[in-house]
Amino acid sequence: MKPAAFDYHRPNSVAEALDLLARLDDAKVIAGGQSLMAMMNYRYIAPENLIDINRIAALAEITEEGGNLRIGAMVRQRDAQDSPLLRARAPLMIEALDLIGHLQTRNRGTIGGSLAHLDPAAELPAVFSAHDAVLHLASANGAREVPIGGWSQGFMAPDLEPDELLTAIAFSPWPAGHGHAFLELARRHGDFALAGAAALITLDRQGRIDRAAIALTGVDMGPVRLDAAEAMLAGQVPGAELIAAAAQCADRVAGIEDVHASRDYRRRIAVVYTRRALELASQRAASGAGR
Amino acid sequence: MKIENSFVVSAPPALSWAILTDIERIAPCVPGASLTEVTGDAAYKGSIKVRLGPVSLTFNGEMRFIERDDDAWTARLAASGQAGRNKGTANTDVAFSLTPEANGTRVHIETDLRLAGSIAQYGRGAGVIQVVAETLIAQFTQCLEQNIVAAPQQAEVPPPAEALSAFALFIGAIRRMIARLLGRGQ
Amino acid sequence: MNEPLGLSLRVNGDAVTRSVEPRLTLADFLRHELSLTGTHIGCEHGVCGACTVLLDGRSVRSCLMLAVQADGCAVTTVEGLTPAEGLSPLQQAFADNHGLQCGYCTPGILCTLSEYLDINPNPSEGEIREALSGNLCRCTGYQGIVDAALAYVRSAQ
Repeated sequence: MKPAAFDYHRPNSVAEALDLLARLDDAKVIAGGQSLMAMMNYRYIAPENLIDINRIAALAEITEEGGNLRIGAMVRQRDAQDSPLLRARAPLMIEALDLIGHLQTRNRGTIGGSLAHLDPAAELPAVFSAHDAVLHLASANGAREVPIGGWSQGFMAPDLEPDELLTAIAFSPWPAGHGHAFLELARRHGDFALAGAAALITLDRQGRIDRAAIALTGVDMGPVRLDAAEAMLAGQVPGAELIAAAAQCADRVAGIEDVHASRDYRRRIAVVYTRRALELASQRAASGAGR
Repeated sequence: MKIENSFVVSAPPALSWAILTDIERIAPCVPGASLTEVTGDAAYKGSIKVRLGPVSLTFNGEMRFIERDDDAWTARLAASGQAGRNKGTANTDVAFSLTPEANGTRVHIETDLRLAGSIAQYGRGAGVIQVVAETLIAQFTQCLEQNIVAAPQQAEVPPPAEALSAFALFIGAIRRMIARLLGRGQ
Repeated sequence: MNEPLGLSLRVNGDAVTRSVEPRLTLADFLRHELSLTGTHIGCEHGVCGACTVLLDGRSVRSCLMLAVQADGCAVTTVEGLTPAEGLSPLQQAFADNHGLQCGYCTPGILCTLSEYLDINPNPSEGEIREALSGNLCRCTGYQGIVDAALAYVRSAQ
């Protein structure tokens, strides 16, 4: 199938893009297009206006300021993978990026696009959830920030008004030497994950868990932080039994029922992958090889 | 497709009924809806904008009561709308009923939704529409509660033996009271 | 609505200027406007890889790009990977190792490998399989394709 007709707009700056979003009815922003074009080709979606932001260079920067990493929404997933800054500071993201789609889709797909599209099985929302990231939005009326915990409002429905543009995602990287792990179960490499887990761990000098963050994907409309598991792990020495017990917290997720897997099966995967991610992240934290 | 929703409001059935059947009053509580015209006694024209995940649809159409029992607190509404630019049509039959509950009223809604044209494809993701309906209802209920808090607390359930016409007058009186309270002439 | 837009780019080294509807995909532009029918269309939603071409050296799904988005870029299709006479060494490896039957997926695979082997000139079999995970083949069962890629890698050492 081919896309239905639309009015095509190609702003050169954020200000131009925001003006278009304010003025136009029924407009969709196209970034990497790896999700949007697929839907448009099938006429699942047929916006009257398409706002192509690929020419806005200001949106494609990765910067570090005062201890915070800021990733522009138009940063291509491939460029994120190759970024020395992200490789050094956010190994969890690097590990997750490898599992997103395929080389060809990562060459065009963007970090912001994945967050704005908010597929329940997307990897990046879980990565950002584990990092307590904040999403930066802009509109002709001003700017606002949304913490990742409040981003998902429903099925593929982020807290993004029709006249708003996601401009960047910011987070504080974990300290050097932290342990990380991103694991997911997909039937074939690059497929949508049935469920996945993102884990970050730091240990204190006595080998006890100083800080832990676990976020799941594929088990609800948006990423799910396992606060209960994190609470169980705090201050404890990571061991097989403790980790297995903490991983059981994943059993309480809502789960998603569809043609690929049942709710129950996803919950089971969530528990297993939480356990594996915690084990791997702990090992990495212990060896100080968080990179 | 059939969608079932149910929620509880903190007012007694008679008051809840009066508020729920006052379409002009509650239209602002429906997220994305706007009422443009009241034609005749029981027919309304307007539009509603709904987000189904990445898809945004605006329906323009009309709605009317096709059945109404002010004694039993049951009603049926028929609504139909066009999605813009040849995208298709939606036709719904909504049956709602109120039953008293310990701390208020349970509202039960059964919707029979028929989508035609290219928008029919969204009906295949049955789960999505149910979830969207639930979200809409949740927001509606919140707004409704705020309306109820603003309404007079002392509305009583009339004794069932009352004649229909007297009852209708009573309900009409409550509606006018609410309307005055909320600053709208009727 | 859908007013034609000017487009200038390089395709297989040649400068090309056209005026096209914005909704025209890059895949359809290459096939219908430029008659470069080596690029194939399989799924039109980015999973099969048959439409894969190179955009500024990076493999991309041409079915998921609008032609107008390639303005100012350099596109290479399978025609651009083929020498004026005969076959390229990679293509020859495919011919020698039964790396194709109907040939529908082949141009996409050649484009993918073209980028991948630039990044990783000496991959293991596992790495090749993973690199090709975004290209589907219905005929060969993939073994011939993997053999062809490995044979090429070995001969290029």
